[in-house]
Amino acid sequence: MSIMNEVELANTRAKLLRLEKRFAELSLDTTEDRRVREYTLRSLKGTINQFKEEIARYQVRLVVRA
Amino acid sequence: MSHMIPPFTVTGVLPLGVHPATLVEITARFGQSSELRRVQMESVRWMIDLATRAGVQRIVLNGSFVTDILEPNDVDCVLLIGSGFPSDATATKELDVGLPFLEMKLVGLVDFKEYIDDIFGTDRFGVRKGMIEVIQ
Repeated sequence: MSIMNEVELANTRAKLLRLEKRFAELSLDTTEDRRVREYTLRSLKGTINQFKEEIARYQVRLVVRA
Repeated sequence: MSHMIPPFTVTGVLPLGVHPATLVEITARFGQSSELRRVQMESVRWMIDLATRAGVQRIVLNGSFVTDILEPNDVDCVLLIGSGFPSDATATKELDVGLPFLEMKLVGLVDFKEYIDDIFGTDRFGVRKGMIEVIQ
């Protein structure tokens, strides 16, 4: 999936911010089951990286076009 | 018991909500209309088996697989895990390695809700959309 316009870019950025905030919170939360926490952090990180890649690809396309 | 997967909206996605469906219903609706979908459905079937053995509590399917696209890119899945996870080391190892076409997120309850309500629950325009929950 790729970002096609500024609205999609803004929405992806907003989701990315929420994911990064949640990742930081959970990283410090030692009350969660250890394995559940590990898997959750890994999944959050995967989605964070995916969104970062999509944002970067969109921005590169803008530069190329300009 | 029969569960009706609702028709797609005009934009080709499921209407808002988490729609319960059995494997048979999912196959009939999403797993037959193209060769690519048939292969993806095989991965979904395999994932459900592994996830069940590994102790996953709930499975929700998202992504282009649950839209009207003939040849979807992938199947996004969010899997709810709890304190008993993993209950089967072999199945968990296979889940860890991954399956073709599947983008799996294994998360605790707080983040399971977050993926459903927000991350997967809205499209890129911020419009809320539906998903499929696998049931027995």
